[in-house]
Amino acid sequence: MKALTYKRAKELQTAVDRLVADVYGFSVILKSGSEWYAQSELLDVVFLVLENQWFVFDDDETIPWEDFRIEVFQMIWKRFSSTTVPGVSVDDSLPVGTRERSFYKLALADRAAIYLRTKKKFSYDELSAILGLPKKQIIERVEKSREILLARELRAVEFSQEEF
Amino acid sequence: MIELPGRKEFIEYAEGATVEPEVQERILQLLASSALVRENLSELKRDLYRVDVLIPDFQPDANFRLEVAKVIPVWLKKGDRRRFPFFPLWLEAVMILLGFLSFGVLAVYFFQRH
Repeated sequence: MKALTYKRAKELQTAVDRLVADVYGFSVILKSGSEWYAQSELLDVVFLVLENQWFVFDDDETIPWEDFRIEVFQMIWKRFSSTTVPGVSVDDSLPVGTRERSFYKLALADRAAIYLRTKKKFSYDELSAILGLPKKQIIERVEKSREILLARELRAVEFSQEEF
Repeated sequence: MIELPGRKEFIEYAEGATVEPEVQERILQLLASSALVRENLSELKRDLYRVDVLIPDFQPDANFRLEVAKVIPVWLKKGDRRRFPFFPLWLEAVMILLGFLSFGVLAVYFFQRH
C-alpha cells in the first residue's frame, strides 16, 4: 500500500464528490423529494462504499468511480425502496409544485425507472440490473409513465385554454 | 428491399440513446427520404422534452458537499488505525505482564520490611 500523498487524497475526495453528485438526485426522488431524509441515508451508503474499499487507485493515479456506478445505484435502490418517508404524503404536507406532483404520484419503481432513463441515460439492460426487474417490464413501466406524464401535461394545457 | 426501423428503435433514436450503427443508418435513410417521418420525429422529440421537463432532478448543495468532505478524513483515520493500531496485541500483553511483575516486586518489598 502506497503512502497517501496530497494528490491522492485530493483525487479520492474528487471521486467521492462526483459519485455523490451522480447519485444524489436518485436518492432524493426515491424519498419523494425530501432532501432531509435522503441526505442521512446517502451518507450511510457513502460510508458503506468506503468501508468496502471500492475506491481503488488505477495505475495512472486516478480512481475509476464509473466502474461501480451501477452497483451504487443498485445499493441505493435496495436500501431506499424498502423504507418509506414517515408521515409524509404527497398530497398535503410535501412542498412540491404542481408540475412535480404528477411525477411523485407515480409508483416508486416507475418513478425510479423513468428518472434513470431520462436523466441518467442508462440503457434498459443496466436498468434491469439496478432495479432487479426484467427488461421487458422496465420498458413497459417507462413507456407507461411517460404516457401518464404527457397526458397530465396535455390536460393541464387544455385546462388553461378553456374558456369559462 | 430496405428493412424499416421498428418503433422501439425509432424512440431510442429520438431519446438520444446509443443505437446500433446499422439501425442508425436505416433511420437516417428513412428521415432523408420522407418529410412525414421528419415531422413525426420532431413531434416525438417535443413530447419527450415535455416529459423530461416534468421530471425533477437534484444536485447536492454546498453544505452537503461539506458533510461528504468531512467523511473522507474520518474514514482515512479509521483505516490508519486499523492498519497501525496504537496498541498492538503483543504490546498490550507485555504491558499487562509488566504490571503484574511490578505488583509482585512491590508485594515482596512490603513483606520483607514488616
